[in-house]
Amino acid sequence: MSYYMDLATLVGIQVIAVVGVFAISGLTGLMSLGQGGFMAIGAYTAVLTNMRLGVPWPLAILLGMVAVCIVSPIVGYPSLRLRRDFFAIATFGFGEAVTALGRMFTQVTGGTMGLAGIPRFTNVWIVAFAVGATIFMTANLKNSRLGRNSLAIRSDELSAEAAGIDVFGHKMKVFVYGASLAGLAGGLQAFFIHYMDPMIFNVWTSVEQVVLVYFGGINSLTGCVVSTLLLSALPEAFRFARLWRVVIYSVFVVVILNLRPQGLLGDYELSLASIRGALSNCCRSRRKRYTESTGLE
Amino acid sequence: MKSRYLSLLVVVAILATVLTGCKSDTGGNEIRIGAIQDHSGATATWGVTHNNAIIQAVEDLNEQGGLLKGKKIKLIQYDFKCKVEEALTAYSRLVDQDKVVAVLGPAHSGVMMAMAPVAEDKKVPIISGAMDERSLIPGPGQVYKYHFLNQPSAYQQAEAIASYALFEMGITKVAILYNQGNPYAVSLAAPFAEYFMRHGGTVVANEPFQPGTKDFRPQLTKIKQLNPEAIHVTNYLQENALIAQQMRELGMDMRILGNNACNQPFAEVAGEAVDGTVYPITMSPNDPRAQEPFAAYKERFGEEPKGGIHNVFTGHDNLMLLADAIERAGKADPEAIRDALESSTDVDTWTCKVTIDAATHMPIGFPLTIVEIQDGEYVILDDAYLPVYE
Amino acid sequence: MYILQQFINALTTGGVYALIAVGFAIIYNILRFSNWSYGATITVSSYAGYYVASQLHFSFLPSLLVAMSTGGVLAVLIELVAFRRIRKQKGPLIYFFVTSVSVSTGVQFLVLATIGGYFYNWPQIIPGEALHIGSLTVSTMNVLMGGACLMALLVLNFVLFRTRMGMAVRAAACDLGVAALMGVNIDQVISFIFFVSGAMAGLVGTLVGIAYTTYPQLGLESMIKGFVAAIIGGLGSISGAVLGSMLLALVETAVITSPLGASATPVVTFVLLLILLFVRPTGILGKSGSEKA
Repeated sequence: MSYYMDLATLVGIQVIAVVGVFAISGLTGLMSLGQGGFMAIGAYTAVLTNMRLGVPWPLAILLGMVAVCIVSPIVGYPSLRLRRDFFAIATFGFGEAVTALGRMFTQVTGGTMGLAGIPRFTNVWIVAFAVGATIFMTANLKNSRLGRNSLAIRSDELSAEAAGIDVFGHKMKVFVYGASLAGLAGGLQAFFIHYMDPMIFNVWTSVEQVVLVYFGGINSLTGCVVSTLLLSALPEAFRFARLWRVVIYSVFVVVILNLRPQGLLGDYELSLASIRGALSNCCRSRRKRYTESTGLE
Repeated sequence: MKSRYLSLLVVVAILATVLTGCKSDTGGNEIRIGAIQDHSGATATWGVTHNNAIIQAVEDLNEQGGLLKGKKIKLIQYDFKCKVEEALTAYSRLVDQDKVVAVLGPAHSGVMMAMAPVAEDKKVPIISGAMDERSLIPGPGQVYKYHFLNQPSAYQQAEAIASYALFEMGITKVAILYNQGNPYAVSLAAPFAEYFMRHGGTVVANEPFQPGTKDFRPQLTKIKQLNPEAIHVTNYLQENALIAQQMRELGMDMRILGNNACNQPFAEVAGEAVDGTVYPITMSPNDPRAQEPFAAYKERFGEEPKGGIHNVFTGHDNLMLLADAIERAGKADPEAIRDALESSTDVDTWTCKVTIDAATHMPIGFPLTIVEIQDGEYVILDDAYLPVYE
Repeated sequence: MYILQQFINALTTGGVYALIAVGFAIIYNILRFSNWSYGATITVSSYAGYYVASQLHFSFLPSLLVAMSTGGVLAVLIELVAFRRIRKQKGPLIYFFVTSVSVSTGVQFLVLATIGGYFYNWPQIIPGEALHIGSLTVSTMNVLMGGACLMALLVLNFVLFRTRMGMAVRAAACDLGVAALMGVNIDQVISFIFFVSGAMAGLVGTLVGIAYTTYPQLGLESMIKGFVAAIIGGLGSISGAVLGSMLLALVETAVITSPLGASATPVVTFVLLLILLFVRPTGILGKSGSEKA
């Protein structure tokens, strides 16, 4: 049981980070390869303020998010003006720089050898709460004007600008939002696996998160959550297949992206309305069959 | 419509495999031991050899009748791909799902530093080859109760080669070239420098390089200026080999002082560039004790141990230490095994008689072999060396 | 002398980067996306070349040919399997990138699953000694790589500007849609481009494999370097890729030589990258993109 709780915690943390990427890449169409860097900043700030300065851990994680909120506009300011590809590159460079800085300042961060003995504060319930809160906030974001503006920017920036949307300001808001979610995930993870080093969160972390969003469907928040759940569970289930499991995982992704580019869930969103709709559909068809077969009403 | 069914199919496929992967059986008459090694990451060469040695040792033990009056050992292996998170998940799975009574962990410092605190929680003992002392000792006077090391720590090995170079070879000016992104390399470089300088030597350069670097010429050119008598490398095999080759190309013929990554197949891979390298190791290929295990490994696995014979010894000996503890504990219970491990005294293993220090969980007085590569041969200079302390 | 030797070190490193960056830039120029499966192609072709060199005892040129053909064929296959459909459905560019990343991971783990994680030292098919000019040293491999890069550029130039296919490629680079209307067989052109990029990957895989051993992460690590170099020089231009490589290598070597040491290299590179992207986003020699905003 405990194994499943641990697994659920790790997957939940991943969901938080992926939802952040959903906001940035799914809704707004920006490709940020620097999420790993933000996770690292959030994690290190949280852990160091807790372990060295004795800050209680919930506050420490919040401080981590604050640190990210300070750094991300600095990164975003020059890079968000750039074309899509160049933005990706700038954020990629940022992620690498964070790793390198982490390695340089050995006194502070423990350097390459990492910080060990981080107390475990995260557990499955805290993560579940955080996941719930994150999904709730992001769903509201998506359905609000902010969300619609994002979609507009994703489709066509020039027209969005022409329609009066402050494209740059909007991109900045979304970027900071997604980055702070990454910071949250990073802090939670550090307090869970007892260990932190500058290499854990790297460009491949960011890339994997982007792939998960595309796999689930860039229009669907439910999709990116579902895809994270599925594709994180998959390697675990296939643990016996060791290396082939990653090959299979990659094949799944390529297949979906090719044959169903709208992603696993397309535009589908899980909501009260959709659940009600599904239920009534199933009831309606049953009623229909009943009336057909018996001729009664 | 068709693509909808496709995605449904994918979801079902994934769920099916998740669910089938979930079955866990609890054996009755067997002793379950877990092994977490690197089968596919950066240290796979060593990890696979280490893992194979464990497999072979378990098979041999089972053939001889098993443990605890005839119970067979069941080995459950996982690959952690040289990633900390994977190792942690594997350990959780071994303890919670597979219900093992002990784990043979990897010789990977970063991983064990993260796993040792988890082991304190889950209370299943781990024997590993992780050399960084911080994976055993969280603070002065403390020890991680569920983690045991069965080879000299990074400190001990670094000091051994520093001591040998200083006192036996008369080398006083050294430059160090190390991978800044590799905890193992860093954990060897620092104590070496410290010991060397404390005992009167000079470290003219402490040059780091980024992980992934394959061209060391800028650093080497920088070092060449400073004219050291020897260069100390503390990296993995591939990097050490490239460093050696590039050194010779640049006309730097000073001696190389190595780490335990310089054991076979170092000379085979790097060629004559590494002639004259001196390094510490737990078991040298030329050692008479190594001949039979080498042949046995080759017969069982159809190839020579690619990760070096010392990894065969480590894998085998870790299991031997565990087996001895299980017998003394009298039952397949993690707590009892842990206590037995802590009181291990003069346990017979291939390398030497192992006594575990209860205060540090490291072996006491584990001698190292100092080897020099001469003309592609691994020549033993001293087969039971301990550092000099003043 | 010391500075001069370091300068030569930088140039030779730049040559390696240039070799990688050019193959990467080819895809980017025409198809406008960063093809991260390039790394996978490098790795596989490197293993292919190693196999024939060590098991079948081919000498240098035949091994190189095998590697280049393997790379070319693999790249074409990847395009057919992973990218073609997306292109036909006119999917947004980002899908190519995401797919290419998955292909890259899949292929790398396929290699790990079938061949294993060990690294392989090539047999001595290139004369090994370095060249000594006075007290300066240049490694033969680096000279070879620089030479190969130049050759590749010359050949590419010839193909692009003196052949019909080259003309078709240039047309497609301008505008895929219009080129199709003009009667260019787009599928064929794209396959050709991928083949060329794959052959370049084979060249990289062979030379870098010989110099630094063949191992599963070879392609990935090389590609990241080439990617950054190509960006600095300008993703729209091939000579830009070369220039960017030289600059990247110079900066890296300078940082290592300085008291900062190698630890600071990624930070300095990033800062430079940011400055560059801010001041001249298309890179030093890049052409302005045709994509809107």
